[in-house]
Amino acid sequence: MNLKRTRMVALTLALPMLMAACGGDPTATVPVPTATTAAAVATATTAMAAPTATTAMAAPTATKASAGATATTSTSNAEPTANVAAATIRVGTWESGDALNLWNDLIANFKKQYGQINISFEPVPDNYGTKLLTQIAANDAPDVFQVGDGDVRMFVERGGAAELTDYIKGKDNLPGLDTTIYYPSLYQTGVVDDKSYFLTKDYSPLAIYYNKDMFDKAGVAYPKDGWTWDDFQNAAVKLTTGSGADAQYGVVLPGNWVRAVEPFIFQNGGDLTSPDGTKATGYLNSEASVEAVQYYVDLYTKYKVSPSPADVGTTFQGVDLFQTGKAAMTLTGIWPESGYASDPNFHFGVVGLPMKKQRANAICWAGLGLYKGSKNSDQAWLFLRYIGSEAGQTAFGANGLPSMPAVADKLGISKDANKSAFLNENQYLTPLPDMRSRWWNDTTAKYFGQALDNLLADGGDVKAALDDAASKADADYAKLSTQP
Amino acid sequence: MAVLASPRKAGKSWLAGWKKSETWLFYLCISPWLIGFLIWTAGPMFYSLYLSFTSWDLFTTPQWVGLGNYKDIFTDNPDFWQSMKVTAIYTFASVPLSLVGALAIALLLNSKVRGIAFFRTIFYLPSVLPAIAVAVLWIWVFNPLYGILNVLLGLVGIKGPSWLGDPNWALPALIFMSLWSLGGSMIIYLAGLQGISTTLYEAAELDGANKVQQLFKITIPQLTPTIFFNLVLSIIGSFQVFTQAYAMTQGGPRQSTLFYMYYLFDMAFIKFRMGYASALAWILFAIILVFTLLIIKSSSLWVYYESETK
Repeated sequence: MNLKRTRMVALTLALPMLMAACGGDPTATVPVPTATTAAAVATATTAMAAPTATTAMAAPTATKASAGATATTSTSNAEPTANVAAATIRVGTWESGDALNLWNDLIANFKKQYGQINISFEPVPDNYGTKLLTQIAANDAPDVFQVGDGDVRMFVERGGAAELTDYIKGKDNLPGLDTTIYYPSLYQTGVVDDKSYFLTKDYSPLAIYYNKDMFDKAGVAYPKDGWTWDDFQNAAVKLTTGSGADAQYGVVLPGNWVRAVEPFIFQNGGDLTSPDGTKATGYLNSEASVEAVQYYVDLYTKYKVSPSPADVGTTFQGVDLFQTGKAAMTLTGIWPESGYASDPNFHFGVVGLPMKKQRANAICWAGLGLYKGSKNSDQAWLFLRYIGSEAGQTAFGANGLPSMPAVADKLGISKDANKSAFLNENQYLTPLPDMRSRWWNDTTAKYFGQALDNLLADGGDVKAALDDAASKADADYAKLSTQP
Repeated sequence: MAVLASPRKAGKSWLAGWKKSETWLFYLCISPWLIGFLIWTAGPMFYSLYLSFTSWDLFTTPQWVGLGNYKDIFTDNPDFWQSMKVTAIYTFASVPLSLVGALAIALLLNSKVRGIAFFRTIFYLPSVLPAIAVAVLWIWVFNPLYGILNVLLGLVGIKGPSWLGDPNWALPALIFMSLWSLGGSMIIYLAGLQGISTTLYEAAELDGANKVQQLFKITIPQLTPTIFFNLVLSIIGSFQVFTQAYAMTQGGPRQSTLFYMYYLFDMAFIKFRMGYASALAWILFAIILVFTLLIIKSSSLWVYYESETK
């Protein structure tokens, strides 16, 4: 009997060892669902952050238009050519599904010009950020890699991204880049401390979609560009009716999605952190910020014009309330637009964000940069430059928005009644506080998100909640920024 | 382990045993696993122990911080304590429930009725489904408005909560859901039940014992090694719950389902604080080890092996 007992004990002792070891790397054993097949910009904000209920809400598929729109890329080829040696360059992206068609067409067109440059395309839809960081740590990263807005500073400060300044000026015999062809605010998104690191792939500001039929039925006038917080609230209240399964919501607000709440704060003249990104106290809990958050929270708890974040995350998970006619308005980016537009019976309009003291907006942005350790950075630059050229921006403009006014005109975006509303918001883009500090997600974004969770569920004193969030964020910033 | 388990005759030295060709053959045969264990399990484990004393963001070289991570975790980290609380509640609720539930079903499935194979398949089926598929399925079951759970509750006049959207109900919902996938322990119980000699029951029946007496005097004592095994396994499993939190709630709402492993994952692969996350992993390892040792220590009091008497 002793023998059997000993075996059992030995086996049982071995179990936690094995299992705890496996437990260290959950990604190895757990199948991970593809976060979303939505447009690039939709995933840009979430690629390295935990997917939240609100971003899932903002990410319906919108890439169907991709295949047809790329036919135009091959025709525009006013590109200068350079003589470079043959090489293979690797390109990393988090995209998947239909979005890859855009890439494949773009690569094929690039190769027509530079036959000697071979492109090894490496899409990583799951845990892209983790994989990229490990590759950089192992000195084996893709020569050209995609990055989301929130990670720009991290890649610059930790040293994965190469500075583009020399290439932009025209290094050796390579073609340089005239950066005045871009919208200034877009070009600036890839600039850190006055040095250029990333070029825009695609992006979207935020805007309000409204259902014309529902507005007509309720006898409410369509919103007009330049409308105010009061206009927005009044329309939302009038369009909120019914309850339970018959509930109709005035608007789907973005819950605790910090990026989409930021514009309210900017519109009221507030901010989330100090300009150098080191302090939240005095900014996140300033009078202007508190007032803006109070307005936002009241829409949920006092006027009840939006489904609660809990409802969006559970009852309506995976349901586009705006498209299904359960909500008269929605606040999001351009990614669902082509999907909505493909239904001729769905009558909707798009209008810029409402204003308070001023107009303001926040961007969702995906860019591409050069890997600092690249052995073929000249060839990689030619490819990156191609993406930033008219041809590249024409291709990716099918998904999000192009970074060049010329391409926006060429694709008809600036004439399109709905898409132009997004384009028009470019001039109101406020530089993201997200990009001031690499600890943003661990500090202000984290505690502001938690404060929103609490406020939207229970209401409560906004000022006290933001005071608390700001002081916690500052304490963590002090801790994180001084660690070795 | 096999060396431990093979009794040696007294007087025979360790070296003499080693010289025997059988011993060489033994190590030769297990070498693929042994080497694999050293390279893929032991190596990374000890490297992670080293990392737990460093600050490392994957990019730069790890910086030695001594016990800094551990100190911070225990003294200045409300998220850690929240994740401990959530994981402990889950473990202490779901483990007893699933042990009793699996045993009850195994007892039923051990009866000799027509079509028992069909029922065994049905009850085991959820355990072979991928965890993510199960999670997606239950997201719909728990849907506050359209989910089958609240629709059924509505029929008897109860307005169900919003389950995964409600901080008070999200964790109970996940505990409830865990009871659906107890086929794994059930099948082990079933094997244990079939290993109990029928002569014991025959003797008990001759002595006039009824079914309930047979259950508590024969079945359960005879089954204690199996219960012991399942207990250890399910405690380890429930400390490491991850998929549900990742796929269904992302730790929310308001951190009410912030399981330990999810918190660790967040630190390691979202925040890229590998040293901190390694420290968390070793704390979990220590906790699981302590629990396992406690259970093994206590087992002499309640686990019976075959003809053993106490």
